[in-house]
Amino acid sequence: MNTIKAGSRMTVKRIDINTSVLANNETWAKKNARRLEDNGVYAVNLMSSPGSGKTTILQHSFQYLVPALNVGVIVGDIATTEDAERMQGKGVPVVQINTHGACHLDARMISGVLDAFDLENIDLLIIENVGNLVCPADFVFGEHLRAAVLSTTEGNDKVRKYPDMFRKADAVLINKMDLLPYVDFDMETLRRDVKGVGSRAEIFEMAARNGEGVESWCRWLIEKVRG
Amino acid sequence: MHETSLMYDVLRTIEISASDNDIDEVTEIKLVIGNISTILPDALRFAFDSFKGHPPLAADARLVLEERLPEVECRTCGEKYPFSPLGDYTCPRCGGYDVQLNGGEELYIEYYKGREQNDC
Repeated sequence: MNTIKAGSRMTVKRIDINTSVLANNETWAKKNARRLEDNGVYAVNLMSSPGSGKTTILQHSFQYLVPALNVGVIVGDIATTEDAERMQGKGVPVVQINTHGACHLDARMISGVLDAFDLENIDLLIIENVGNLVCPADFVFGEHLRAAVLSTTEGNDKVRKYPDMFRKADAVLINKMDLLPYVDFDMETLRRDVKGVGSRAEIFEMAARNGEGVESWCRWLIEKVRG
Repeated sequence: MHETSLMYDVLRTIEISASDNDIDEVTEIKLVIGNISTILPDALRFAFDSFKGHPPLAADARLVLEERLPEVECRTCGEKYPFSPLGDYTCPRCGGYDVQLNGGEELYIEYYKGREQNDC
C-alpha cells in the first residue's frame, strides 16, 4: 500500500487489491468445486448457441452414459421447462433453472440447485448452459470440463467470430453432420480454426438427431470421469 | 453483456475494502481488462457512470481502464508476435495456424485510491 501526501490536509492512499472483476462468481465456483470434489462428482459445462443441439445430444448420450455412470443434469434456459421435460424418463434426475432473462448460468445459480441432487450418488453432472456463444464462456461453475457444441448449419465462421468460447473448450462437438451435403461447412477449416484460436480441444463429429457419432463422445467422457 | 453486474461487484468490492481501510472517499479506480475477455471497456464505463453515487463514497471517482492484448505464440515454429484483434492469428514467419495465446484474459481491479476518514 502506498501513501501519497496530497496537499497539506488530505492523505490519499492507494490500495492495491488485485481482485478479479469476476471474484464474486469465482468464490461461488470454488465452493461448488469443493462440494463436487467432496462427493466425487465430475461436472461438465455444455455450451453452444441456441438450437445447435445440446439437448438432443444429451438425450442420445444417456444410453451410453447411464449404464456406466450415475448421471445428473442441470439445464439452463431463459424461460420454460421444455428441455427438462424432453430429458425426463431416462432414469436421470434433471433440474431446470430459468434465468428470467439472464444470458448465462453462473456459479451461484448452480450452487442453489446442487441441493436438489443426491450428490453422493452422482458421478457425472452435466450442466446445459443457456444457448449463447458469448457470455457463458466467462462464467465458471467449478466444473472439470467444458464442451462447446457447434452445428454445421451455423457455419464455419463461428469459431473465428466467437473465439473465447472455443478457446476455453476442452471438447468441441460438431453436430448436424447429416446436413453437411446441404450446407457450406468444411471440417478441415473447422479443425484449422479451432487450433487457430489457440484451442487444443478434442473434436467429435455427430448427427445427434439420429444418434450417429454420439457414442465416441460418450466413451471419451466416461474415460475422463473415471480419470 | 454483463458489464453492469460486474461493475456492481467491482463497486461492492471497493466499498468493503474502503471500509476496512478507513477510506471514506474513493478518488480513482483502476481496472485491467484483457482484450480477449468478452468484457467491453465502453460498456463497463457506461455501467460505472450509471451507478454514479451508489455507493456514495465513489460518487466522484475516476475510472481508469487499461486494456491488455495477448501475445500470440506459434506452436509450429515458436515465433511470438502481436495479436490482431481482427482475428487472424496466422504466424507471419512460417504461416502456421496452430497457436497459443499468452495473456489477454486479465479482468481485475488493480487498485483504487481514496482519502482517509478524519484526515483534515
